Order: sequence, then structure tokens, then C-alpha cells
Amino acid sequence: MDQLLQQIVAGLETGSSYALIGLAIVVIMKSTDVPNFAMAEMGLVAAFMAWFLSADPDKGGVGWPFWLAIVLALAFAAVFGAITQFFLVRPLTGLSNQPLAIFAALGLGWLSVDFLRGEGLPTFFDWFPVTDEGFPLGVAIILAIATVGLTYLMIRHWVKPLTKVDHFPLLLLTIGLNFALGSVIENLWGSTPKRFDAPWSGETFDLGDTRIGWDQVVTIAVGIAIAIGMALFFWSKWGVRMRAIAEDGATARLLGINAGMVSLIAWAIGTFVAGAAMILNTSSTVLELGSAEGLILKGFIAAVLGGFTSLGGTFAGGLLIGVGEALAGGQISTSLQPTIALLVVVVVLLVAPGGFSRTARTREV
Amino acid sequence: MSKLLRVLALLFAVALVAAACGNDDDDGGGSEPAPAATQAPATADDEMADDMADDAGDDEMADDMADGCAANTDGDVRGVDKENGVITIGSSQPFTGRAAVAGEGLIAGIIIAVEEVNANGGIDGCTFELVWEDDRFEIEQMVTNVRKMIEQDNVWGFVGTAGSQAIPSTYPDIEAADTPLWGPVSPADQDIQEVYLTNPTRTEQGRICIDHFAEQGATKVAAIGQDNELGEEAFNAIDMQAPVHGMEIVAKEEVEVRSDAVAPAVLSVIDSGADAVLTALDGTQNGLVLDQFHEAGFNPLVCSDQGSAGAGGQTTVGLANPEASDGYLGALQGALPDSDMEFVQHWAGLWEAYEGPGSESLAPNFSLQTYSITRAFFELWDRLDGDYSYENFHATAESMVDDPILIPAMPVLACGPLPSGHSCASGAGISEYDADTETWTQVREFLPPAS
Repeated sequence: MDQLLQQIVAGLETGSSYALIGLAIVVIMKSTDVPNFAMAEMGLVAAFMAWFLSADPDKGGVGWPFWLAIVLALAFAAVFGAITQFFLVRPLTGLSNQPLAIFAALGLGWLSVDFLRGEGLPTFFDWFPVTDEGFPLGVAIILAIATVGLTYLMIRHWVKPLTKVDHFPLLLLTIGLNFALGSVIENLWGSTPKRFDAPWSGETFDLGDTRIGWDQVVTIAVGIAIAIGMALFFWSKWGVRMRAIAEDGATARLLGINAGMVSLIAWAIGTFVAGAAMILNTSSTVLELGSAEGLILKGFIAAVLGGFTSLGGTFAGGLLIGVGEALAGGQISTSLQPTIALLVVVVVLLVAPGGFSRTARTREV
Repeated sequence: MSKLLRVLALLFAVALVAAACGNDDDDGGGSEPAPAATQAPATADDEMADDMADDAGDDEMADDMADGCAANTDGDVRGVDKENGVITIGSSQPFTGRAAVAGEGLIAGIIIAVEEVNANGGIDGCTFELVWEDDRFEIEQMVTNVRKMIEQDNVWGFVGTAGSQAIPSTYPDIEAADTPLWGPVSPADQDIQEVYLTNPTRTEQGRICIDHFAEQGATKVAAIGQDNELGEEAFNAIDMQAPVHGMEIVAKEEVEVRSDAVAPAVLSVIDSGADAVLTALDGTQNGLVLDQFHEAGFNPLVCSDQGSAGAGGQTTVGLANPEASDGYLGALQGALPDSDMEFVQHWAGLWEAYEGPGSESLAPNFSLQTYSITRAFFELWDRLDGDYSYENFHATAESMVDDPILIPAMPVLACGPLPSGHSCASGAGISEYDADTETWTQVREFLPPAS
């Protein structure tokens, strides 16, 4: 009996992470209508940020208090999600490409100052006399400003916003973002796995004959709290607007709902929730480059079980997968664990194609 | 005019981007040939290094030797540049990605050995050029790397390549090109002429862990392995060795590759009542298993093969709580990096002076491992007497069963003919981690498995 309880608690812990990633996917799906394959990786950036802020300086961190680091990392996650929507997603949803043009132009200009100062021009400009030593600062700044201007003009002229919203470019964007973020994390923080200890890490208590970890309790409790918070959000003003767009985007726009702002808020919330999921998951396991890989798949399965619309269905789906895996591994065989858990999902979908959602969406593929 | 401006702007932007992309001199890059020759530290205090130095002589003599590189090799052999006296060898390592901590040390050890032999004048008039690629511990990338090094870099063979999950995928290309592979490869012997295993297999290391369990009084043994070849070797080890000691096998549990969800396997093992556990996981998973055992108040003997235990380094124990990692056992394929053995001290001097790729590695134990393997390769190369044909290499290597190569920091290498003769090393030691001092100590000598 005590083993069964431990298996259920362990399943709820991992399932809670699956569920939160699933919820983040659903929120963005509701507003932008794209499955975000970079969701867990975006959350992983926040987890690395939390580790960086809280880890001791001799381990490569800043050494700030844990709770301050968590608050700042989650705030960063929300801003990061909003920025991603504003600069990258927006031009692909029929809105202006101006933010992208400004972002790219300033970025390239910033990079080019260092480049022009330190390295000069590419080798095929060898005939130019000053390139070996790099340009003087003033010249480098003028050239960088020229680069900014030219880049801005080129993007504004040649990268036209999509006149018809198409899901495929957005899908590719999230896949590309997933790989890009992995590379950024590796370059910033290296590929060595890291311990990311929370105050409760390693602490346990006994429940009858069963020993339970506080990290398990915290993960499950925070997961439930976030799910409830999200459910409440969807009854707020912006939540209702998000639901309206999810139901019928064209009509919602005609009614004056600012689709861009709704999408931006959804990306901020989604990344915040994904960040919380990754912080919880990595503080009870290990923080490493591959931490997001397993979660994104299971998060999508949870979202499928919620019909990509139902928050409750998604959350329940995540917990079901986690507990299913744990019980399959503990009661039957660990070698069949992933198969059995996924088999349960298939059976659920065969019985109820819309998953745990009462209003499954049909969509063109 | 507007069109001209656009074209000029585009050219300028492309030039900037191209230059920025092509200007990466960070040593974290994927491919980088080692210097053909670098200055070795002043003292080479062991016998092998003295022999190399004696072979070298002054510059003039080195020039003469270059003239004689591959003097007894008939015709052209891949990777042998007689004219310039250079032999090209290759290696694929996980320099980035999940196994980067090990990969950095692994590549550093090979480069150190190549630089040392070149600094001492090479062997029989030939110096060595190392071409290496980063495989990120991914099967597809390793296959791509091996093909590239065979077809484009024309390597003679591969040295020190590691990564049990990925290596078998490269065997078809290695066989087709006849390029020998000399390294700590596992699974051991698949009766492939080109492949030589220079370290005890994981199965053998697992068997030796179980011998140690029995000596410590354990009677119920369990295994946790990945659902791949790595785990399969642990399960083979437990099946072979538990009956030797009359031990009861109480659980065999699997964990998905690259998954952090180890709890079901851990709970099953706890439920089984095992007093000793053999694990065949990656370092991260081992750290999690140790933590979860400790949290549950479950304290069996736990032992892993050297690669996954990271014996001698912090790759696994650094991820677990100190209390959880205290007493953790790791099989040893070679000496510990803080050993006072003369050979190890010599390597330590080279490692300290080394500043190339992987010099920042947190796992110098892996550097010592590949340094030893590469030194053994050069010892074998010296026996070829200038005939670098693959036929002569195989004949010479397979004669090691009568005249083994003795590298002090690793088991005796005595390759023989197929079948099974290319598993050249036998026997492993056991080391134990002390969390208080953060050190590993060898607690069992290099011995073959009990039978």
C-alpha cells in the first residue's frame, strides 16, 4: 500500500509538470492558433535564469536570494514571451512587420559596432586599407548606423506581412525557436548539468509508512494553484476576450477586440506558466539542456487530452499521464512504462475523441 | 538608382553576416585539428616518454626521419602522407550536448598525447595530425562525422572515439573503408575486424561490481538500466555474475534514455528489498537515483561502470546530495587521476600545462583515460616498423596476445585474433566516493571477474 501511494505521488509530481506545459500550450493555442513547439524550451530559459540568479558566484551564478531569483525569473519569462510575440510572431499573423524590422536593425547594428571595431571587413574587402586594424570608433558608429537604416528599410520593403494568416510559418517559427533557444542556453550557461536546489530540495516527511518529498508536495500544490489561477483568468476581461478569439477570431476582431494585445498577453502568460513548470521540474531533478525534451512531448499529449481548449481537461490529462507512467512502471514493468502510458491516452481518445473537453475544436489541417 | 542601392545594401548586409558567421575562433567549435606539433613539458619522467624523446634527436635528425616516414609501406594507404611525413588520425567526441563534460576531457586526452608524441619527434619519421569532430552524443551526428573524416579528411583510423549508444551505427562505414577503430567502445566484440576495444566492457565492469557486492556481504542484487544497449549490458552482467556468488536477483528495472523520470524504477527497487544495486544510466540519471534512494531512507550498495559513475570526477556525484553520493561505487577502467603512479603524474603535468580544447573540463579523469588509450595506440604504431598497411596493423595488433602492451594506468592490452580477440583488455578495479573529502579512492585492485 505504501508503495502504491508513493507511486501515485511520484506520478502526480511528474504529471503536474506535464500539465503545466500542456496549459501553456493551450493558452497560446487559444490566442494564436499555433502549437508552440518551443514552449518547454522557453520555460527552460526562465529556469536557467532562476538558477543563474540564485546560484553561488563560485558556481557561475549571482548569489541572490532564492525567492528573489524566482520572482525575477518568472517576470523575465512573462516579458520574454511578450517580446517573442511582438517581434517574431506578430509579422506572421497578418500584423505589421515594423517591430521585427526595428529589432533586427538594432540587433545587427549593435553587433556590427564590435565587428567593425575589432575585425574590420570580410576578407574580400582586403583592398580597403584600414580593415586589418578595424575602423576607428567614429567610423564604426557611422557604418553601424548605416547598417541599422539599411536593414530596417530592407525588412520593411521586402518582408511583407502575411495578408492571409497561415499556420504553417508560425509552426516552423516555433520549431526554429526551439532549436535556437537550446543553442542560446548552451552558449550562455554551458552544457554541464546543474543542481538547482530549492529550500525544500531533499527534505522529506513521513505519511504513515510512506516517505514523501517536500519537492513533490510543492510541485503538485503549485501546479494546482496555477491551474486554478488560469481558470480564474479566463473569467477576467482579457480572459473573456481570449476565449472570444479562440471561439471565432474574425467575429471577435469585428467586435473591436485587439487581437494583437490578446495574443501578446497569452504568450506572456504561457511562457510564465512554462517557466514555473520548468523551475519546479528542474529543482526536483537536474537542470540541463535536455530538461525540456521529455516535457514538451508529454505536454502536447496533455493538451491533446484537453482537446487543445479545455484547461481542466489538459490539467487532468497531464496528471493522468504522470500517474499512468508511474503505476505502469511500478505495478507492471518499467520496460513497458512509456508504452502503457501512451496506450492509455490512445484508449481515452478512442472513447472520447475530444479528450476531456466538451467542446473539441475541428480545424483544417 | 533605387534598385542599385538595394543591391548594394544587400551585399553589405550579406558580407557582414558572412564575416560574423565565419569568425568564430572559440574552441567550443565542432571541428578542430590538433596542432601538428607543440612544445611538451620539459620533463617526461617515465620510461615510455624517455623512449619517445630518445627517438626524436635534433632537428636535422627529425628531417631525416621525415624522409623515411612509412618507409616499409607499399603503395598508398589512406591517411599516410609519405611526402610530408604525416599520419592523419580521427576521433569523434561529444564535445557539446548532454555528454559534454566527458567529451571535453576525452578529446583533451587525445590531443595531449598527439602533441606529446609530435613534440618528441613522432614515430619512425612520422608525425600525427588529429582531426576531430563534435558529435553532441547524437547517433546521426556521429555517423556524419565518421563519414566526413573517412571521405574528406582521409583519416587512417579512429582513436579514442567513445559513446556506446552511437558507435555501432558507424560500423558499416568503418568496415567499408577498412579504417581501424581503437578506443573504449562498447558493446565489445561484434567480430568486426576493424574494431578494437581497449577497455573492459560494461558487462565486465558490471560483473566486477557484483563481485565486490558479494565481498561486502550483499545477497539480493537489483539492476537499473537504460532501455538500450547500455542497460542490456548491465542486465547481462547481473545474469552472469549473481549465480556465481549465489545471489538472488530481485529486480531489473528500465529507465528511458535521456529521461529524468527515474522514480518508478527507484520505487520498484526499493520495494524489492535489494541490498546492492547495479546501475547502467547516464550521469544525470545516476545522480537522481542516488538522491531518491537517500530521500527514501534506502541505503544499498550502488555501483556503476566507470563511464556512467564518472569515477574519479564529479560528473555524477556532483549532481547528487553529498549524503546521497557518499559511498557510491564506480568501476575503474584505469587509474584515478590523483594516483601517485608515475605515469599518472606525468599525465597530470601535461594536463596542467594544456590550454587547448577541453582544457576547462570538469572531468580530467576522462582525459587520463584517452591519454592512456592514445599512448597505447602509439606503442602499437611503433611496432609496425614503418609498414602502415591495414594488413600489417591487424597482424601486429592481434599478436599482442603474446606480447601485451603495458600502459601503467590501464589494464593489460592483449588483443588477439577474432572471434573475441579484439576485446583487448580484461579486468577492472572498484573505486569509492567519499563525500566529505570529495575524493575517489580505489578500494579493489584490477581483477578479472570471478568465475
